[in-house]
Amino acid sequence: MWINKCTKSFFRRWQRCGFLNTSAATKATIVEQSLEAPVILKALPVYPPFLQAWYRDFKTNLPLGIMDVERQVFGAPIRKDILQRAVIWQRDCLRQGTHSTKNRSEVSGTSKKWAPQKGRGKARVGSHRAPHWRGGGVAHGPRPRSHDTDLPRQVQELALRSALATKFAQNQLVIVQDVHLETEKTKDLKAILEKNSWDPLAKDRKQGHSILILTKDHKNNLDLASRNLQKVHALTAEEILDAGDVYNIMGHETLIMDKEATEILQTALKPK
Amino acid sequence: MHSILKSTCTTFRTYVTILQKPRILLGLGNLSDNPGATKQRKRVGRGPASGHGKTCGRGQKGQKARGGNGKPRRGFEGGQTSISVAFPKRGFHNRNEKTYAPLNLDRLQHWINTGRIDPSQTITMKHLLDTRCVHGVKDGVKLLADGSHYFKTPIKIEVARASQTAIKAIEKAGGNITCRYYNRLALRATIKPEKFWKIPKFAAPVKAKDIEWYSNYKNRGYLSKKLAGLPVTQANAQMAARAI
Repeated sequence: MWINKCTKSFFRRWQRCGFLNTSAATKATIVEQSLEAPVILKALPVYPPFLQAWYRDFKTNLPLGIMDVERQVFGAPIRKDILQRAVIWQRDCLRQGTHSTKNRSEVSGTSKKWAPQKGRGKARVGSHRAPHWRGGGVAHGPRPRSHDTDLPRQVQELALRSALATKFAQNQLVIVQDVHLETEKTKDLKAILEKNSWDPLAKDRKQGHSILILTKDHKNNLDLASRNLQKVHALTAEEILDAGDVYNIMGHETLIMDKEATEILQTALKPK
Repeated sequence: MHSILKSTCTTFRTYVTILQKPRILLGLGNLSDNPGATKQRKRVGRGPASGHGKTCGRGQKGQKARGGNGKPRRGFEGGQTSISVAFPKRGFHNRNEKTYAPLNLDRLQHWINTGRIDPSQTITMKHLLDTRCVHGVKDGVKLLADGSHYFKTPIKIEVARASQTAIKAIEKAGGNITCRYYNRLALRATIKPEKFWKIPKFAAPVKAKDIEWYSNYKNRGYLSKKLAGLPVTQANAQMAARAI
């Protein structure tokens, strides 16, 4: 009997908190009515499926309201190791790989036998360009090659989720209504960033941030205005998804996204 | 639930939506893999102190101490004349061979009649394979005209190849057919789109023979100018049928 009592109080408490959907609530009432029936306890998700995030005005940084974002994306487990693997993979792929040395056949000079085989009273020698000679070729030196490595697509997605969750948890993620600039002047963009204390050039470095701004499409004004600010970069959500770009998300302190970009990221990254 | 949250929390985020911060502020500087996740490479022949010095961990003399895999080459039968040397080559492998899964019109009609295929939307090879109308799609599906007098439904279909009589029969029924070139990747993307993160761009044919075949309106090739220019209507289809 005490089990029934407990479940009843448990369900009532959850109903009060608003965490029970209607079907579960009706199930609870059925349990209440027929005390003889076996009690079925079902595991309910502890947390609601959405997180709440402020969205702000880009120009004034004033909060305009609260929006729901996916818990599976922005509340994903923070996996330091997966982030590391993704960053290493990305930087491997970025390597130019044009390093080159000359081997004994490529070094200029004759390949003529340097001294007669016998009768010199010294060691026998052949080519003067052998690796152990001064001025000789390099044995097993670097050759131009690709340094690309592979990372499974699902790990890439996990890493992106983890990176977004890190930014969210560390309060480094700013969701804005719309990134709209009237002019393409760097001065104007800088004034906005300065006013909102996201200033990329601040001297005390307490608030001096590198900033990544994500939008749905490239905006001409934003691209031109941010072009000459060393620590401000503007990318699109598509570019981040295509490249599995954890490096840029983690490499900037502040991540500013508009609502559209947030929507694209969370629909693409939500685990299927 | 959302209504409750929205009504009570217009100014504050609820406690459950605030996440715990990592202990140290995570940035590019302090990422690291799990301890033991990666292993140091064994460097052999680098002196006695390394432990893999003189014999490099290979023990004393013998076949296993020598270079290579410790095995002779593949197909070596211990000195006996190997089978590949003893017998001459025979036959040949046709590199241009294509294996199409045949699909006859009566079977397609039966699948439509039994409700397994929906004739209102464009039928692709994915629908055909998913409903098990064809099996063993190696290089695509070829539509053939067995039992074409049973075929009555106007359909829109996209396959790799089709016979002339099949094209006639489909257009006589008021339908529409396009033959499209699929390379391996495009075929896989058509049949199993769920396996792709992003559907790739479909390649155009490269071989002159393929280009010729798919540019011919007679074959309802997707590259043919006439097919591209014509709006798909029944009158046009009839006109095209007359042209054949």
